[in-house]
Amino acid sequence: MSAFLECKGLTVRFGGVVAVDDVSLSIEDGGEVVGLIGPNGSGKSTFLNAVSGLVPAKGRVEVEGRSVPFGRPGVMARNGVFRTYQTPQVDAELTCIENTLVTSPDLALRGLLGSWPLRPAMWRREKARWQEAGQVLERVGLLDRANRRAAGLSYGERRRLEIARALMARPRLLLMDEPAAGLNTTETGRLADLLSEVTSSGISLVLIEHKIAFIEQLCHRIIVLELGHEIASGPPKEVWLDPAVMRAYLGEAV
Amino acid sequence: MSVTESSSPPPASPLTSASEKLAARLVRPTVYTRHQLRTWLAVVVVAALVPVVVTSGYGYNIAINSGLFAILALGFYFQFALAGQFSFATPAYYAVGAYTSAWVSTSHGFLLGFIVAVVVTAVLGGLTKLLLARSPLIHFAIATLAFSGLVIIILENWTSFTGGDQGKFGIPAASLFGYQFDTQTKQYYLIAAVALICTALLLLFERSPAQRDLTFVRDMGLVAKTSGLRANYLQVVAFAAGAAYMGAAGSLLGATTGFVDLNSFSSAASVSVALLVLLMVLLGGIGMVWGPIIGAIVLTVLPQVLSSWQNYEQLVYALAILLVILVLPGGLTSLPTEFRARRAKFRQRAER
Amino acid sequence: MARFISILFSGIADGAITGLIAIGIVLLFKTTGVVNFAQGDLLTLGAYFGIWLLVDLNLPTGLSYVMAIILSFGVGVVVERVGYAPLRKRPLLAIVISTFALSLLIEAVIGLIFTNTPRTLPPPFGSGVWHLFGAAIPYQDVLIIVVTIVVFLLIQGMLQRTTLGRQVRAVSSDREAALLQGIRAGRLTMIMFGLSAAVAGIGGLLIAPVLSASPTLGFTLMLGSFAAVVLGGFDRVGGAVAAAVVVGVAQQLLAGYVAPNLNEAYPFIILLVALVFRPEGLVKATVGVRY
Repeated sequence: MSAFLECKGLTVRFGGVVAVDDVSLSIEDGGEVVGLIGPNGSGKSTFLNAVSGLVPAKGRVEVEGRSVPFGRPGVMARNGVFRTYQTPQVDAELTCIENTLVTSPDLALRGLLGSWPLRPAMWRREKARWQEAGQVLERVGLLDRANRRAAGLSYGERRRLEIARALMARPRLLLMDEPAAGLNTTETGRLADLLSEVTSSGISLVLIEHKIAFIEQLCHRIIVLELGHEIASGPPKEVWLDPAVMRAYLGEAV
Repeated sequence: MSVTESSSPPPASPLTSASEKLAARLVRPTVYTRHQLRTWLAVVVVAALVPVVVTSGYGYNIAINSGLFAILALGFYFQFALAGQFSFATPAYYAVGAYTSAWVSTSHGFLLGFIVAVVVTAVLGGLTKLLLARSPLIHFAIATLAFSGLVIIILENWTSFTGGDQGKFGIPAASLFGYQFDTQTKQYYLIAAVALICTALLLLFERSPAQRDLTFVRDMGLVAKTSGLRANYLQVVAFAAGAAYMGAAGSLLGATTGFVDLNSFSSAASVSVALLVLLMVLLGGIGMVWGPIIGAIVLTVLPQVLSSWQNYEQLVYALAILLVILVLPGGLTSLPTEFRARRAKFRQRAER
Repeated sequence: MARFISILFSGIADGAITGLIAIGIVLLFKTTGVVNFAQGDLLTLGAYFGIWLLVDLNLPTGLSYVMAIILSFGVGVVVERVGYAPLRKRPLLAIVISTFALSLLIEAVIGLIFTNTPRTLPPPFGSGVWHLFGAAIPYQDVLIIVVTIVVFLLIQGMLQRTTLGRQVRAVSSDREAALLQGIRAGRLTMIMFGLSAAVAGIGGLLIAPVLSASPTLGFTLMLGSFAAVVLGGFDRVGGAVAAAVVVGVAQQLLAGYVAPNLNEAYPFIILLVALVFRPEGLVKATVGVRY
């Protein structure tokens, strides 16, 4: 089976700095989890930004064998690749269910036609969308907050709401930038459960993470970056023992 | 795609009985459960009763002007509060609407003139936003300033279209299916009706998936794009709709006064129409649809009452904008909520 | 040829004036991330300060100029205190609207005090002309160009060599990090508002002898500056000034050779064309997402 997402020789330059240098990654459809780790400043987030079309890059990104242009964030989303951010991005003005509904792939009657002349038809579509959003919120454990504004949510809840928004889009691959950052142990545990449930439902993940236990619980394979280069890859247990990885994290003396 | 297709697996985390109960019924976003029926009734009754109080022609002029400015302000609210686009182009759409309607209605009657004016300004507004789709907030504001100035200069030089300094005369009074709006009372009712329809359309838009998506696009910028929302499409549509409101106001201006001249829009007046509408929306408040309407009425009536202030008009407006922004960012319509919050705080302190 | 040279020179002089407004816009954008819509009216104000001191009070030329510049600086500080400082934590649009309101306020006050009748300032070096390849170039145009070059060099020197300039550059490249390093943002923005108002004031003193001063003088000129800033970059003083000169020359050439009767439309057209084809000038600075 060919890879769902294939990045070949991705290179990102900011002026003279090469933030990501010739990094490749491929990930299967149907629940594969790849961890992307490395010290701060090693280019992990920049790599995700390039893949999701936020920064210009060189190289090639293919979804199911079709090339995707850089700098077009919407195209990636429509191809089933969604991303979350290091600080959870939710619209504080909207309620939780509204925050979830915006990414529904059912775009019918969500413009002027649905607002004005075709309102009855819009209601039918909306009810289906509400039902689905309710299920998604239940999945992330926020159903009882559905009609509260996102402004009142705790940090951990915002994180889960962001995941709900991603799930609502029925993605095939999620790119997650440090989902466990800033969460306490209980919340991290809940998140790990949620994510393993997500992957078992067939959604693949690319995870940037610093928490080792979290990575070991979820990832099938990890890629280690240092200063923009890939220095190791493989199953987590093996990668920890790689001398290059030890050097990157602990310094020469080891 | 239907919902049944998305076979979401049973949740892994154990559910509490409370959320099981919630899952049993459909979650309806709160926007759709808010009811404004009583407010609506009150507004319609007040609008219908205005002719009881107003008897003079002068009074009708004020009432008609309030209505026209309310429609303009609602259009600006559409662009500014809903789509998050700050534009100086209000006078441009107003003027284009007025002249387009004047020409078409002279030969083909009011109704067609009105419709053509609305369509033309909608297209013009959509094009403005489309061509500047990649311009960030401030760039866009600056660009609309230039666009508005340019449109006014074109109209000033295109005297065969605008009638030059004399203005365009002989615009037929509004009429619908043979019914002539030939008295000021009838014209007032026409404008009040259009303003109410505009309000209703806005309210319907605010309670629709379109507004939800638009809010997300407005607040979240790039995140909205990576979430697959049709950001440009939504903003172009909303901006065009706002411009169409302004075009409608322009059409009604000609149909009630019988003539349109450049003095209402000319370079000097152009900034002041844009400014006046901005102030109406800010003063009334961008929190709800009633804000721009209240702002429009207050700022049309007040200068008539304080006519001795005429020389200080610009000064007063500038100071008012500053004051509203600094002291009352929510506008007049936020006063009840503000007041309630203050009182609650006061009570809490008293109890302690 | 003579005609071309005189058109060229008046274009450069026009560009220099819009460049002076643009310098202020860029300085403030670098320090605050906000575009000041009152910048043009600060130029008008500078012109009227000159007229008031020199013509109405009959003070000596040098003293009037210095005092007008100091007064402009003071007004800039007031603008910051009233229109920017209280709104620093509020959305960008609130600040933009408040600077716009201040612009109207300045116009209104000028209109009330000096009325709308255009006034002029006597040119400091007389109304003589300088002959170059048969073209007559007014002394005032030469003065405008020289002063603008001096002001530009001073501002560049300030940005590159002084502590103040380093603070501005630090704040513009990473606001939060700079503030955490202990830069006093309040003081810095106050000085920058004052400085950009003073630069605009100099522009007003220079242009008043050429175009007569009216309350809307600066607002009209500011449109050209916006075009320059969009073309030259919101964060580069040099780029903005260079673009201002290009815009000024282009405008004069269009007016001189193509269609003189559309003169007043050119700033708008240039600005719109610039924005349609280079819309992304600001993007880097205003992306609100922290990845």
